[in-house]
Amino acid sequence: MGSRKLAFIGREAGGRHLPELPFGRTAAARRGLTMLSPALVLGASLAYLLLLFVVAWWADARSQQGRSVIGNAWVYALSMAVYCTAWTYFGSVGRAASGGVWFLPIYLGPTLAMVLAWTVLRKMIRIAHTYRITSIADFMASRYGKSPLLAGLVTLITVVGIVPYIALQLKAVSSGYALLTTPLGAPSTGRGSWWLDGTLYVALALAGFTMIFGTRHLDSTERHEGMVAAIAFESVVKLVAFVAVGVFVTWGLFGGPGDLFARAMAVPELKALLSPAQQGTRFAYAQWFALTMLSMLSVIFLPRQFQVMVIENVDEQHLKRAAWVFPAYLLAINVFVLPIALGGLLYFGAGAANADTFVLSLPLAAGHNGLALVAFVGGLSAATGMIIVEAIAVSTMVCNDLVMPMLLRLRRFSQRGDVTGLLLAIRRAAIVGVLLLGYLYFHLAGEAYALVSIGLISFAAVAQFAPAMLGGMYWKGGARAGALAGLLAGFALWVYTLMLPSIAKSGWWQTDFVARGPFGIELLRPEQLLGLTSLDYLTHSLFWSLLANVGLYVMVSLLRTPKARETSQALLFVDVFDRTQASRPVFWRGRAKVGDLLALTGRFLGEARAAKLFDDYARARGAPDASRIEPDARLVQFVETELAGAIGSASARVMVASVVEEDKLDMDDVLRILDEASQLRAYSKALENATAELRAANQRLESLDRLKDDFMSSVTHELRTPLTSIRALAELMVDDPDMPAGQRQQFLGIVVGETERLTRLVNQVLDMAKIESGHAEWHNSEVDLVALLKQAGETVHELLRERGAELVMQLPARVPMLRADPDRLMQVLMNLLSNAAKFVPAQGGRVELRLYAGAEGATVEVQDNGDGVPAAQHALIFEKFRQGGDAWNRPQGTGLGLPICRQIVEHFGGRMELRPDTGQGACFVFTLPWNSRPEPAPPGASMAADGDRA
Amino acid sequence: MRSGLLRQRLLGLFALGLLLFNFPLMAVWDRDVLLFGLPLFPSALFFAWALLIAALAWLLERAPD
Amino acid sequence: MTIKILIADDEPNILISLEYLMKREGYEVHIARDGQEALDVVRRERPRLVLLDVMMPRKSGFEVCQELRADDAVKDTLVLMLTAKGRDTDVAKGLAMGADAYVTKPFSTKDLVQKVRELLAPTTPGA
Repeated sequence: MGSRKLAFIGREAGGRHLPELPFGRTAAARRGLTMLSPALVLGASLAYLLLLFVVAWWADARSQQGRSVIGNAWVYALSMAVYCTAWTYFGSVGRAASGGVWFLPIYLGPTLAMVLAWTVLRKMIRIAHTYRITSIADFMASRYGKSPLLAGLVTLITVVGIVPYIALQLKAVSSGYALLTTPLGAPSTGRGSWWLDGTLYVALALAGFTMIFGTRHLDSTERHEGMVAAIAFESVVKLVAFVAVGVFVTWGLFGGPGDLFARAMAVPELKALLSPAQQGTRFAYAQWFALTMLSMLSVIFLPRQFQVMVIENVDEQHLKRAAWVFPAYLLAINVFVLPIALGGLLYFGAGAANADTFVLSLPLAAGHNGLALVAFVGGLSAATGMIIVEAIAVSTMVCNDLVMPMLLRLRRFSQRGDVTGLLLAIRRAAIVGVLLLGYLYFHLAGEAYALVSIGLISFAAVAQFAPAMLGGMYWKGGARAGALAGLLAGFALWVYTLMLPSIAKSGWWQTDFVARGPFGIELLRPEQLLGLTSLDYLTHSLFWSLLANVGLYVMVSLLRTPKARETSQALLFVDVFDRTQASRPVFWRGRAKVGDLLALTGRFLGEARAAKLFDDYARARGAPDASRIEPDARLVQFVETELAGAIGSASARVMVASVVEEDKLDMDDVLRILDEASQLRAYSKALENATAELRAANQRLESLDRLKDDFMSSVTHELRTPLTSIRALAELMVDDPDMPAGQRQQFLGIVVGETERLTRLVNQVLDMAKIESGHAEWHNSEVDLVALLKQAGETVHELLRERGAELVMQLPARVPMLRADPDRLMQVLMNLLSNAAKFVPAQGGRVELRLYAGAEGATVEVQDNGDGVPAAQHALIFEKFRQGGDAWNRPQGTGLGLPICRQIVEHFGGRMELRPDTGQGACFVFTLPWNSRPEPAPPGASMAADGDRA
Repeated sequence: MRSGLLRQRLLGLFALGLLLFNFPLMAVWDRDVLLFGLPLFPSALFFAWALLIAALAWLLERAPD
Repeated sequence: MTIKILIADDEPNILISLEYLMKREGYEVHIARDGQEALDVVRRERPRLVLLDVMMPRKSGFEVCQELRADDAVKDTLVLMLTAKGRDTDVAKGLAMGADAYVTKPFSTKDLVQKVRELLAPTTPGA
């Protein structure tokens, strides 16, 4: 595009200009094509609009039932695709037909912008939702001290920049309609009287549609759910329609992409489109970069994009998915642009047909009228989607930021009661007004050059918002005067270098000021300002306007001392992520009455809603009802924010100031309030931390307490059980002196046994407690394990013999000495051995004691040939008070022996476990490392006598 | 901090995209070559584009809420 | 006709003492060593009263009590819970499960006998 031009596409515009002519010369293009009946096309369009209406109505109904359909990242992403208008739906193909890949920067830019969406756009959304921002103008005004002047300027720039863009959509629809319905070879429909012009009715129908969905609610932060659903639906329709045409062209008209590209490469002109540099043409990288940057900014600052991405956003988290789904959508809708463009050029022959309407004319020429109709509906979709959202966004701005400030100056207005109806009427009028302006522009400049590149001209206009918007979000120093100066300068240069030349070249303003400069001053030629000739006109305009814009914004901001209100707003915007609602500082001092504020709110939001708002506020603040609310700064801020949602922040500021008595804040006040809020935040943070710590500590204590409780309960049970037998039997013997001697003897035996059990239990509980608390004494010395095991074997020998069992020992001749407490090790061995002795069968019992010396340490195994331990109890056997065996043949034991053994072994750095059951009885194993845990004895201390307290 | 890391990764991806879609890296693909029957220059642009989107999706979808 | 009593406990020595005590009072005594056995004996012998230990293998006293109350054939069996766990929550749980009385170990034989008599009194003919 731009600096180069294809010979076969006869362009009348100069080489520097964006060359494609959408919807221009239809008569030649249609030669040889069939047509559709107007009734069919009109009927289909009407049916489609009705369907859209139904979708929107359904979504609104669902939202009222609390089952929103738009609360989902996919719908959000699809609504973003309102970016793809009729201009791109038809124009991309035209652009590709004349410039190859030059249609791409318009989509690569948004993709890059979306990479940063999670950081930049999310902040914008957070700010907009926190302060109930209603539009891009409101955003700027609010940031720079709620300045009505700035809001008005932004609105003005938007209207001037966007109206031609709307005209372009209208033209797309009307020329698409003309292409489909004009008979073969007939001359292009001449423009008749205005009342016969279908485009006017298209505009009015869309205005009606927009009014229904855009202005049902007053508060724009109450989202337009129906509209968003309809827009998402339209995005699906236009994608499906465009892809359908692409598939038809690629596989229907040609034999697939390979065939299509092979044929294109055979034509030198088409080959040049696909690899420009190789064909000797210079690729305009500067313009490519400029277009990428431009579309990157536009995708955020176009009013309709700001509307769907920021204002209509339901949940910040949706951005995470939408940020990649939206670029993926752009990619999908662009895949077939080149095939359709090349297909059209090959099919009709270069220059024979208007490339901008290939999407319609290719199916039509091939006799696929149905597909042509689908393609038309797709284009209609793209156009209506853009118009509806743009009109809503612009009407909100016009109402809140142009009309309201003027009305507020009128005495009559300030005496009116409820103005909610008036506000809605203003918005509806603004919608009709914007669309009629668009129609008027279309009517006046219908065939003119001005329309051709109007999309990019609009992009360049909204790009002027970027410095003040982005600066305002990240730079606290950005000031109102700087924003005003930057915007004015950027806008003026945009008008001079882009808007005026395009009007001049459209032909309805006869002038040579573009070529020769105003009054013949060459240095002021609008497209070569100051003699800068090496840039194309778009890059040139962008360079100068943004240079002046950024330069003045920064310089004036630095030079001027900001007012207190600007500083406070700057703090609130830039630090929006740093504070929660409650700890956000409120920059207001003064006196207010609840009644006055309630009445004011009622005027703009309706009395019922105002009452409900105040009731909710009272409840949230712990007041019994609305009349008992403390009329403090927070209430004033609450009312102002609610009003801002309806009439914009600047107007809300004026209205609130009119009913309260407020002190003027100076810079010191702002800083002091900020300081207080910071301290409050620090306190609440510290408090939160302390609470969390306390809670954790408490939970730890509770779980310890539960453990101790369980332990105590178990100990109690174990103590009470023998006591029960002792007491019962003793009482029986006391009651019955004549008890037979044999019976008495048996009872006394039981009493003695139970007493022993009690003693054992008490000793072991104490032992356990000592070890666990680290108060046990350890008399460590060099231990010969072989000797120790032999000694243990001798000790239990008698016990085993009584039970008719034999002891088998497998010991090596000698093992290294081990440092440990021999008495404790003996305790472990005795416990394991006597345990084994309890479980051996009555006949042929056998206990094995084995010792192995490994590299790391010694391993001792104690095995019996009893029934073994059931698998279910393996994990529990080392827990306190878990005994092996079932009720009747449970051995005498306390349930503490094995836990104590394990504690002792672990104290020496070893491990004790039960071997997995092999069907040959239970096998307990413990290992002891040679270099048993180093004892923290001071150097030189006697190694033999120290008491280890580790 | 996790969110800070995500921010830096996104910034890096943005820089990568800006490089890929501009001179001089773009000129590397501007050759008279067919790849699987498709002209290299536009194919490379679309491929880089798809790659960028895939990387973005990967970064964002695995980020914690 | 002598009244049948079931004693369910897993501690043999407690069983010995309780069996002696109840026989001395003139009841017909059956014994069970775990919860499941207790249920089986109740269904087979239909005792009037069960002295039920809480901590038993296979089925706890609580579970036994619950199953008794759920079974129409034996739901009128009187249940006296015995436990070595004296916590209030255990007592409350036992009563909630449908026990008729609750005695903590170690108990006085006189008190236990008194409780048993009280439980059996209203339905004992001629008492």
